[in-house]
Amino acid sequence: MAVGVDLRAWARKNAHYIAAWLIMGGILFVLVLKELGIYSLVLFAPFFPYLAITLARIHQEMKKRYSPT
Amino acid sequence: MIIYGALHGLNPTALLALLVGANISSLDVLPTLIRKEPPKESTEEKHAATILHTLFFFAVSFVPLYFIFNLPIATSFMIGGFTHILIDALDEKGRMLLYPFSKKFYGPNLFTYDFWTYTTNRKIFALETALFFAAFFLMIFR
Repeated sequence: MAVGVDLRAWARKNAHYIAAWLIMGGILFVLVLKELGIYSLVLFAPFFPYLAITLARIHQEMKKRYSPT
Repeated sequence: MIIYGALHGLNPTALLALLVGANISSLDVLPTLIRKEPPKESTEEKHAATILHTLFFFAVSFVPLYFIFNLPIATSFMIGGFTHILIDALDEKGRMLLYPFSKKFYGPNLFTYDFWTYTTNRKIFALETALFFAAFFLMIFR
């Protein structure tokens, strides 16, 4: 089912979940870098702009989809 | 990371192949970046409905990777991909597990597909946190 989302309200309400997901992701990323070496960032770096574009696009679509009642 | 942490004797290249295999399916999100309108239902997303989200893709990829690289890299890539597809298939959308024989989506419908409810669902969060701790401790004490 499609869910309309007011991003700011959603982020405020779920700040603890967002923080936990980011912390877990960050820790695992550091462990990967530790295992593969810092130079593996060269492999991952090209995907960061792509991730930023994706997040911006999701943000745009969610704003469009959400209609406050 | 759980697989890599649990199996001794794998070198970091295998971890890289596992990670690439586990994440390459997500490239099929690209069409959603150029579309004009999102679908009405999130389960109708083109993402997760392409060949990149099939077991077939990873089974077929095994052969060239084996000849170009070696057995550990080809196997790691395939296992990473299979893990992604099979865990994805647990959601309400399911995945095309029998592709190319069938384009039907199969799965046990255990989780929600919608990102917003997925990230804030307690049961899913508990499962993901458990997986995080498993990966964390296996990598630390490897």
